[in-house]
Order: sequence, then C-alpha cells, then structure tokens
Amino acid sequence: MSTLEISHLRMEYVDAYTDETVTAVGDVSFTIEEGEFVAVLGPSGCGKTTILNIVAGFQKQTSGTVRVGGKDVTGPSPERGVVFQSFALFPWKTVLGNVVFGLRMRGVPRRDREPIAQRYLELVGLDGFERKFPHELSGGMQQRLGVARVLANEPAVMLMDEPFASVDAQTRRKLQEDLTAIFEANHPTVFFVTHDIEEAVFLADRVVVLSTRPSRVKEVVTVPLERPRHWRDALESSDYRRTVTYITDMLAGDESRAIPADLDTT
Amino acid sequence: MVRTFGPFVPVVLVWWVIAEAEVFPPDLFVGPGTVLAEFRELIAKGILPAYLSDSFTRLWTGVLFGLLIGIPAGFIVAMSRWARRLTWPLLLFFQAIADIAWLPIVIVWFGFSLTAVTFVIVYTIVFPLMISIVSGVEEVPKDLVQAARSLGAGRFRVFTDVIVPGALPAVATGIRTGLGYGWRALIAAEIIVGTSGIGFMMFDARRAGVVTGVFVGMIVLGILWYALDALILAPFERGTIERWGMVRTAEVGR
Repeated sequence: MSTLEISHLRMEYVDAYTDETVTAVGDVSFTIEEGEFVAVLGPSGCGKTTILNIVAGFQKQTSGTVRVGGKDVTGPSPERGVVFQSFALFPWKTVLGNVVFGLRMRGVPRRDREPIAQRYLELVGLDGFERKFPHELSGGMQQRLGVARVLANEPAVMLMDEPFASVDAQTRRKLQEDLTAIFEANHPTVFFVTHDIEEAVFLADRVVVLSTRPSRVKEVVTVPLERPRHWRDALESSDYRRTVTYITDMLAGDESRAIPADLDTT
Repeated sequence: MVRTFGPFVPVVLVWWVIAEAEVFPPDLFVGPGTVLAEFRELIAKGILPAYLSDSFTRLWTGVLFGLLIGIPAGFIVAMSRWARRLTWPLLLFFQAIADIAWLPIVIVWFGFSLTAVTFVIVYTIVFPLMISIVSGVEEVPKDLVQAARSLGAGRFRVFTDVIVPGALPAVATGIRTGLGYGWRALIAAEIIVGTSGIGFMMFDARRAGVVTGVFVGMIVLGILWYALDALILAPFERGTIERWGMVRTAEVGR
C-alpha cells in the first residue's frame, strides 16, 4: 500500500464570471511511496495546486479518489501538513510557538512539546531564533520555519505548494539544498508542487509531469541522481542535465502546437 | 518631550498673540494666561478633579459594557453566516442613528442618570466595534486558517488561535474609533443630561457667560484623549500588532 494514492482525480468548477464549467484537473493518477520525494511539475495554471489542495483536504474533488494510508481524504488533517508558498506562519506566535502549535493541537503532552519543537528547529537550522517573531526572520528562514512546523507533526506526507517561489534566486538555491539535506536526514514523504523543472529534478526521486489544463499525467520520470545531493554536483552531472532536457522537451512539445513549424525546428 | 509638546508650541503662541492683540473682545476670547489661572483655581477648589472623576466613571462604565457587548457580538456576527444575514441591516440602521439622537428618548426612559449616559456611550461603542470586527475577521488570510487546520486545529482552535489574533488589528481600530465616539458622546450627554462632569462644566460656564471655563474644558478634553491614547491604546498596539509585524507602516511621512 502506497502512502498516497491518487486515482482518476478530476476537478471541475463553475467560473463565477463566465458561468462556464472549467476542468482544472482532467484525469490524474499517481502514487507516492513512504519516504519518497515526489515533485508534481506542470506549466502555470495546469491545476497542480488544485491537486495539492484536494490532497490537503481544502477542496473537494469532482470525482476520483485520494487515499492517504489507505483512507479516503475527507478534510484537512495533521497527517497531511502543508508548506505554503506564502509561508502562512502565525505572525502572533514566536518561532517556537509556531512549531509548538501543531503539537498542542495533536495533544502532545506539554513537557514534550518544547524538546520536540527544538529538535525540528535544529533540523532546519533555526535554533537560537526560538523567541523571535516570524516577521523578524528573512524569507528563507521563514520558509524553513514553515517546514519545521509541518515536520514536527510527523505527517504521513508533507505537502509543499511552490514553497520557494516567493524568495530570491540565491536563497532559493540554498533552500533547495537545505530541503534535500532535511529530506536525507529525516526521510519524510514529500509531495512537492512546482513549475520549475530544475527544482523538480534536483529535489525529487520521481517527477510527475502534468500536461496543460485539463491536466493529465504525461509521464512519471524517475530521477537517476544519487543522494546526498548538492547543486554543485548536480550541475556537473550529465544525468541531471539529461533529465532536465528530457522534461523540458516533453513540456515544450505541449506548447509547440501553437508555434509555427518553421520556427519550431530551430 | 519635544515630540509630544513641540507641535503645541506654535498653536499656543498664535493663540496668545490673537488674545493679546485683542482681535476678538477679551470676554469672548481669553488668552493662555487667563485659562491657566482658571485651570489652577478649578483644581484648587476641587471642582475640576471632582468633575473629571465623574466623567471618567461614566466613560469607564460605558466603555466596559460597550466592550463586553460589542466584542462577543462582533465575533458572533462575523463567524455565523446566519447571524450576519439577520443582523447586518440592523447594524447599519442603528449605526446611522447618531448617539445624540438617542438622548431625548433615553432621558425619558432613564432620567438624568448615569444609566442614561452609559446607554449612550455603550450604544456609540458597540456598532463601530462590531462592524470593525466583522471586517477584521473577513481579512484574516485564508492560508492561515488552512495552515491551522492542516496542523490539527479544529474549528474552535481555529477561532481562538487564528481568527481572534488575526482580527486584532481590526479590533484595535474598532476600540480606538469606538472610544473616540464614546468620548464625544459622553461630553454631549453631559451637556444635555448634565449634572456634573467636564461637559457639564463647559455648558455651565457658558450659561454663566464665562468663556474661560469653556476654554478650560476644551483643553482638558484634548489632553485627556491624548493621555488615553498614549497611556493605553498605543502601548496595547505596540505590544501586540506592531510587535507581530501586522501593521504596515505607511511609507508616506517617514
């Protein structure tokens, strides 16, 4: 039994302005095994965030099933913690308070909460910042807090919705390295949504490539990179470059239909 | 000190010049010196302290009940779609009836009493407070609620740990606006219901034809509001929403 099983997922909604039925997610099926890092990759507006929202329990699918640990998803739950693009940290709670929150909600005994929170803050390199408020941290640190907050809850799967899209390019590289290090140390199960091909290949064990809307799974690409991973090694690795090129071509094929043939051949 | 009192220096200076030059008849427009002397005398006689404490008792009674009613009512209306649908038109309707417009009927009901004044203050505080809370709750970012839910919070915890603190900037604004209205309502009520208090003192001075007393009253009102803001409202905001980085400091005027 896989940790996460998505089968024939379909999502339609009625556009409030035009009154037309829009199919955001066409027919999506894939699985994530325990301790696996899977990136869901697709062009903007392909419905990948919608899939994440359904897995998170924030939205209800039109049809198809989403199972986590063999049980149907019916709503939000701490077994499916979410790392948001906007960070979504609680501004009125300290760094420690943000991590402790989930433990408190799950009924972890008071005396155990701080040591556990502390451990995860160390994991993401935020020890020493416990008493700070989120707005006092840099964007990169805020998102690492977002990761610590979810991991402290020991979710069955950590859902990450383009978590590094709102930080600058240098910080993003650093955060991607940090995340692989965290993943390699802790082996959570990760569902990572992104539109960045290089990010997906660098981070993931497998990349689920989606087509444009209504999204379908074009292919699930297994990334042939060893762990631990580092950007330096990846950029020099022909496996990395070949995989990126392969996916780039696959996605370009989607768009080339709109491009005149004589331009496409260059 | 300079930042607090500096802006008042030119105002007092202009006031003094106008009074000294006798642009207006001296018995209609008195200078800072006269007002200060009257101020001292009113304190020495014990009139000002007594009236102040009367006004404060009324204000606090009104504010206390206003907050006790307004805050829960605001959150109930904000959280429940049904409560909102049922009460929103009423809120707008009653907010539109000015506080002073209630005075005639309130005096008929409660006489010239503390109850009458309290009623008017509570009334002026409750509606702006409720309306700010409703809009504050609506402005709590959706992703914070989702984050809390996916960290294991149930509806009650989402309310206590996300909605309430998330709406705090709006609640603070509501309390500030409400208190401002309440303060004005108090003075108006004292002028009309008047048996004692700062508002009564001003009205009484006018009746006796002594403008100095009116001037003293106006200045006292200004100072009191300033003190209320500096001693209570501002520290509250500094300790909460400013500390949490929830206040966007305006770029203009930096």
